[in-house]
Amino acid sequence: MVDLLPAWLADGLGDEALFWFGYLTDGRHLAWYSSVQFTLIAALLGGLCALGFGLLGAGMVGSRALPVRLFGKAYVNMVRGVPDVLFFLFFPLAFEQGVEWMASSVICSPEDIAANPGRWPPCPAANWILGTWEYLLLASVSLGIVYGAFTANVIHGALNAVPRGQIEAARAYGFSASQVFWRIRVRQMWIYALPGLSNVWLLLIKATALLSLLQIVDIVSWAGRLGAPNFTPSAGLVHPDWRWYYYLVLLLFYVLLTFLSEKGFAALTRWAGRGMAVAEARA
Amino acid sequence: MISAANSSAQPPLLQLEDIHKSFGTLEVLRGISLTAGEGEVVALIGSSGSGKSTLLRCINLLEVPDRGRVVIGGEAVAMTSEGPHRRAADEKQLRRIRSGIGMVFQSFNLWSHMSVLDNVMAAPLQVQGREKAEVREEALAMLEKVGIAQKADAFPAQLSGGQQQRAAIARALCINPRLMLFDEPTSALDPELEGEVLRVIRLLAEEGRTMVLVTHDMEFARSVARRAVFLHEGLIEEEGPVREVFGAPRSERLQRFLAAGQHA
Ligand SMILES: Nc1ncnc2c1ncn2[C@@H]1O[C@H](COP(=O)(O)OP(=O)(O)OP(=O)(O)O)[C@@H](O)[C@H]1O
Ligand SMILES: [Mg+2]
Repeated sequence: MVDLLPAWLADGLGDEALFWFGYLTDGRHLAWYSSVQFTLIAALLGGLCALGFGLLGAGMVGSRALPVRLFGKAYVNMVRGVPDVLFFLFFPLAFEQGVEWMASSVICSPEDIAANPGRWPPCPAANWILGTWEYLLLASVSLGIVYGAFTANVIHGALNAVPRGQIEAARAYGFSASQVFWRIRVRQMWIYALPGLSNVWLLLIKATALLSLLQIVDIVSWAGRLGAPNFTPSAGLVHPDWRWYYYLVLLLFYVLLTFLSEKGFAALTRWAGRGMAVAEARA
Repeated sequence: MISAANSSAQPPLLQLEDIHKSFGTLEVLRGISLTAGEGEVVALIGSSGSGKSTLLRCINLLEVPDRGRVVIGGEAVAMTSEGPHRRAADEKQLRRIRSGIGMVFQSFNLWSHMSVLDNVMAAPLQVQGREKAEVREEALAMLEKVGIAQKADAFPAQLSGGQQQRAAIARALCINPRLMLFDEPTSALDPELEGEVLRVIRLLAEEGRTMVLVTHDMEFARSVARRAVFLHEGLIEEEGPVREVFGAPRSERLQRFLAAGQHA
């Protein structure tokens, strides 16, 4: 990286600055910076999943069919109580083994299975090796399931806050049940849901710090590695235990994310509140 | 010339037959039959809790009567077997029938996330599937007619109560309804705003639209309706031409009801 600097700038910086510039742009640091993508992707994908599961869960909780309603309630009430760390460890593994089990019933021959008693997967051909991206996807879905339960709770309340008279008017004019749901209830619930959703979103962002549990080398693992006492053959001890510096950078990163999220939610609230008396009363 | 032959051949636009409705153990409607012919304005009057709103809501099945038939333009609305869990049996038919009935609510019930114009255009576009340019033109004409064309792009919350109710009437008109239902359209309005809404309704009555109107305003009912129906505890206590119902009430309850109204 240092050699990419224009000569006049390199000269002006002086040796020490150049050293630190080189240090902060070495391969490991660049890998750290680019691992931010895992965090952001997990947050965005997890957020989308949570919204999907939230809408689905809220729809089920509000359903008229008893089995559907019970299933929705079980999801919302049980998953909210599950520690996210635990679910994060449980779901991807369970999913992986579930897929392997299904694959093994197709791929593995009975002889293979008999030859490897007690082995997992039952035959080597059914082994599913997960890479970073697969883990990232599973992590996002895990986040989606856990925070979807909170989202469902928020959305369910918000759907019920939509004035009954407006729903009735839509029915009176011949709107179908799904039109009433999407065009009136879902369209109007945001103004009631956004405060709660912004809380869930911040919790979800925080949970992205767990990605390293799934063997994803994310910003947290890199910070730990880079902050550890650092020797190089040429320079000797570059720095002692600096992990707290690195973790401080992460703290600031999450503060920045929070700040940007708040801005985003403020904009969403302005959009959702157009014409709504609730928003006018709040403003 | 053939209108006489026509009117005898045509069934009345609205027929309610032996409508019963209970909420839990509370029997709100106890067997009501009512008809409204093409172009007729029927006023529903009665004291609070007598079942006027419930009866009106049974017409477009916002409430499903436990017992009895609803016939619109000769077509009976299909319903499942009688009882408290009765529902419409044919969703498509229900939507089609509803999309021909314009309802105006006491609390306006405009969709607050849509502009006034979008409120008026919503049902024609999404339920009737009509063409957008044509609907837009008609919606603007309807807003013009009720006198709030300049508010087309405003949101309902930015309008006065009287303007909101006129927007709601424009919304009802834009579906080209064959029947209009009004449930105390001016009860939520300040007295000085009532007039502008009543004027619009009067105009519609003079156009020969078929309307069922629930109202507490006896003066208005008398001047705009042709027939009045007096409900008492879920039954029709008296009905007839407005001149007779208001001018020469036979039942003692109606006499008392009208006398009480005079003092209020
Ligand atoms: N959805 C409902 N559930 C339970 N009870 C209801 C429901 N709707 C109406 N009622 C009851 O039915 C009775 C008749 O109500 P309705 O609204 O039809 O009266 P109304 O004649 O329109 O009265 P008002 O002049 O006050 O509007 C009332 O006692 C009311 O409390
Ligand atoms: Mg009423």
